[in-house]
Amino acid sequence: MRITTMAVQLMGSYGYTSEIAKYMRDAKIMQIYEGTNQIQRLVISRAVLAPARPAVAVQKGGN
Amino acid sequence: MSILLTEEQQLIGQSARDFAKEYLEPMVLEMDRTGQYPAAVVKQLAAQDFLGLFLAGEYGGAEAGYVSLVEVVENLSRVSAAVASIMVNHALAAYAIQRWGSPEQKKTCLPKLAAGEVLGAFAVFEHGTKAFVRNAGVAGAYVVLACTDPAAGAKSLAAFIVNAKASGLTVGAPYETMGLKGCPMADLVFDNVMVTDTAILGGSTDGSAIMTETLALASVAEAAQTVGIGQAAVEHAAAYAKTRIQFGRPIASLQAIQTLLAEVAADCHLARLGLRYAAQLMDDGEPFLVEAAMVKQFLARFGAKMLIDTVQVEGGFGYSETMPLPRLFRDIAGTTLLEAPADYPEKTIAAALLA
Repeated sequence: MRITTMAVQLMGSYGYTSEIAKYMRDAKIMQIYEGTNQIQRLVISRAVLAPARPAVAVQKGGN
Repeated sequence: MSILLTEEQQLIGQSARDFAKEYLEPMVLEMDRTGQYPAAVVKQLAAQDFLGLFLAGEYGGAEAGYVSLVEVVENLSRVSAAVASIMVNHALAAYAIQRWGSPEQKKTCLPKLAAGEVLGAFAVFEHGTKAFVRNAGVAGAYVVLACTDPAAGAKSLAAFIVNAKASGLTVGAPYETMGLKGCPMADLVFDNVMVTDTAILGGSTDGSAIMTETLALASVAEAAQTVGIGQAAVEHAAAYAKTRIQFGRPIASLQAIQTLLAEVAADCHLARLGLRYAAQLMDDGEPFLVEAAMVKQFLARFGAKMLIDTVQVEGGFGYSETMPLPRLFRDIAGTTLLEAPADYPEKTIAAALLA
């Protein structure tokens, strides 16, 4: 959302009317479906607050 | 290229965690209070091979690479970013000498740096003297950037290895810094210091490239310090939120608190991936300047915010100097502000985009 908003801003009024504005609309849905950004924060916070478990599991084994 | 740590890298990270617990935890508060240089701990860093981590085996290094370096730096920084800072600035000098040194220079300097017999420092910024040099006064070898022809300016930039005992070289009064207390910072004053041709690293006009690449490593290593500090802060704030009862329940049950913690944890994780990626590029011998700049730019935006938001979670208690977050706050200001002009990462990234 930030990237596409900045891209529209960079292109000024032209950006607002061109197909780049569509990217901004398309980016917006990423903050909504498959779990809104607010829900994602709750999911992450569950891991942060879980007892004695790192927020991100450490990968075992070499690669 | 792998985004996950190898078993060896995990073990090295674990050894740094154990080291931090055994040697840093007992002294970190006192060091923050007095600003005293932790000479005994630096000896222990050397004994652990942390001072020669990425140096070649023939010089007594561990040949463990740069992903291992940032793993150690992050894990030390969870307890003391000041000690990590001493190690990082030593690493910058060691890096420059290993990368651009002549066989003779490498044979003379690197074994002593790898063994921690001599501490290194990297001196770049100027206000008439070399200013704000980390490890100044305790280092035995300085890598110093200087113009060989004042009229030609930056084009004549060259890097020199200067012995701390060189005649005419003096160290200014140590700065009393906001954070990273224990990692010395002072000016270097050069009064007719004479060096021979054998002191020049690389060619006499390689200084600019040496500066750029070594500062890119500094960006990656400092990102690891920032992530270590941020990780310590988010873990502390999460533990606090579970025990702090307000409105009849732990504040961890409030969505406003969960949201703050989630944002900090995500920023910290993404920065870790970014800096590890840049370190992996270094291990692979690939260009890494742009990726290093991206990490630096990301943490310029979100680094200090990790402490602003975790202090917010801990409220008035967290603001008290008897709690750990204020020290971490002062330290993260040091790891996100120093070593390069604020516009440098954007310039580097834009130059690559617009090439």
